[in-house]
Amino acid sequence: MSDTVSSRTGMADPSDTPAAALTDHVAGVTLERPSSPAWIAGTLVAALIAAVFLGALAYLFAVGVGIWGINIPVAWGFAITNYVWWIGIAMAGTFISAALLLAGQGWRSSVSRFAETMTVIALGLAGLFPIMHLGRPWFAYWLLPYPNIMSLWPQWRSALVWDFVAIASYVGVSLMVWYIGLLPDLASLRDRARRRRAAVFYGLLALGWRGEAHHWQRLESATRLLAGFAVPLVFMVHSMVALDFSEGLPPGWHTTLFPPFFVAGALFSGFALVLVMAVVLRPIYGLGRWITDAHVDLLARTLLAASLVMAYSYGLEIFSAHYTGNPDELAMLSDRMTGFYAPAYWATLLLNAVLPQLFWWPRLRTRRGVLLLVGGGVVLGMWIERFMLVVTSLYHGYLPSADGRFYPTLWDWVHLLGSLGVFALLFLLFVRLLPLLPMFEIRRRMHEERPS
Amino acid sequence: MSSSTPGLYGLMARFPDADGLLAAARDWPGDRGRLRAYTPFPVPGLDEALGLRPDGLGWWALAGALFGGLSGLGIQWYSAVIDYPINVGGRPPFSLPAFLPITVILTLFWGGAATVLGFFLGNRLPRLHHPVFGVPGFDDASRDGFFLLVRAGGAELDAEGTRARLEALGAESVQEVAA
Repeated sequence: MSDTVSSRTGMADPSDTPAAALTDHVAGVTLERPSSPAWIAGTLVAALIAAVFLGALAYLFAVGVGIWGINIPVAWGFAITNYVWWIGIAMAGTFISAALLLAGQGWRSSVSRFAETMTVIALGLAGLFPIMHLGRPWFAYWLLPYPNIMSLWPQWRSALVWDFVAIASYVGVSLMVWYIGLLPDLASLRDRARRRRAAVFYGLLALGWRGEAHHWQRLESATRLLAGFAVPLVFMVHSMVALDFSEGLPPGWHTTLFPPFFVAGALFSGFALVLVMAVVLRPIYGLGRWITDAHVDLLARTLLAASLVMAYSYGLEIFSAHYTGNPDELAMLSDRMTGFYAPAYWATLLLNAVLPQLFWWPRLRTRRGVLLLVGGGVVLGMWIERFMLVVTSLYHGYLPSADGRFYPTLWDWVHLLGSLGVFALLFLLFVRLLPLLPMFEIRRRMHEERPS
Repeated sequence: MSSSTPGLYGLMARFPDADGLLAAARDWPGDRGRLRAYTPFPVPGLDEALGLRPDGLGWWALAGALFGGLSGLGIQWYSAVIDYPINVGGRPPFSLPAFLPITVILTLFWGGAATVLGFFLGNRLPRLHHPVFGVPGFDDASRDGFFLLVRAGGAELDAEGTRARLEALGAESVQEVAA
């Protein structure tokens, strides 16, 4: 696989060594390149949306979750949907940096840095939504086991507590993976910086990294070990998220399919966003030499494979409802397909299972418009899927008298779109402040693929 | 063979590429423990050429993982069996299957955290300054420069002899590193 990539990377510029050209370009994007008007405009808009989000957050905490459309029976609405969606987006970074590392996939290094950054930001946002969703958010710390005058402990048998521990650990491990991998590149920026302030800033962040053989030895060991811990952890995280649902009894949730189904969906949505990011960032920052069509092609293939797993899962839901013959499950299924929220079901199928099939055509896997259409469609489709899963199992119960529909309010939308603004703002700041590519990994790859 | 400069941290030689550095480290006639190599990426084979011992991070990871797993299971056992046993749907106070997710998750988390701790302690990082940063051109160690340092390491360094040996091994340039 890495052969096909290397043969197409096409290193130009014979005057400079490829490693020097890479370092100067990537460091230059951060240090020298003036902020483009488009970046400034985008950051201002994102900052404005983020400010609105903060205001809306304050309003939510002041007034309570009654500002949303949730009620009984649909007590979980946008907040939980957003939470599951963001945490799913986060998975791709971990998968690219850890699982593909262990599998020896050299091509991952071209996209791993911004995928890992995406993970860290998305995780922060994901962690926020369950707290926002608490009726009494000031008691969020009750999830922690600590000696208290009430002599109370968390209920260890509850999936919600498992989920909390999983997310907290995942945030910690993702930050460690991200920062350890940044150290050598921060040192590169420190050494390239011409302005004193920049040199001090990156010097402090680089923590004194010198690229000594001992350092590299430990970095490689630590990266491998962390990858070994991160891969099972990320599967645990998404399984715990799924168990929040499948430990509950409503038809459509109470199924053993959920943990693997959620893991696959997470991978799917995360890879879609990585693909979109790669296609968007590549021309803007002139990264075409290191993020080649071959890389985009591999991402698109992964997306196609994940889409097939999703299609299989959707099929299996239909199959197992009929196989068990459980009348409640069957009613649930037919309601998803024909009920009030049927458009969400069919949009899910269209965006997640049908549209990615375009990637069977090799030429479409590298065409910008198609990549953006399919990638963006999957990101959107996965949000709709999460919404469909959350709401359709809640809005009608076993008796028609208990039915009740969910209608999002303005605040539901403000919190969803606001979180997108926060993501965009932090990502735009990352693009300007930190190295976009893991330079040392690409230098190593160049060394290993050198003509001898 | 005379002028050993007091206050000298060592001599820094620059090599044209990774292979040159590797060969020089392999063929170094003196005490390998005095050598320090600086490269822009982890060079395969350099650890062996320099005779580096295994970094032992695996032991850190194992210790962390054991600590995480045992403490995670321990706190669940203590709180649910000793401190505040409650009957949840007739399940036994020590509900091992339900306690496993947290045990596994904390095993993974503390394994990772201990690895990172071992990484920083073993590398003596963070560190604000180091003599090698004073070498002109050392900036390239994070770009495309390959450096080999011979440390004085407490003893007096025979500067001229060392310089000659480094140049014989193919060094492009040799500079003194002030302590």
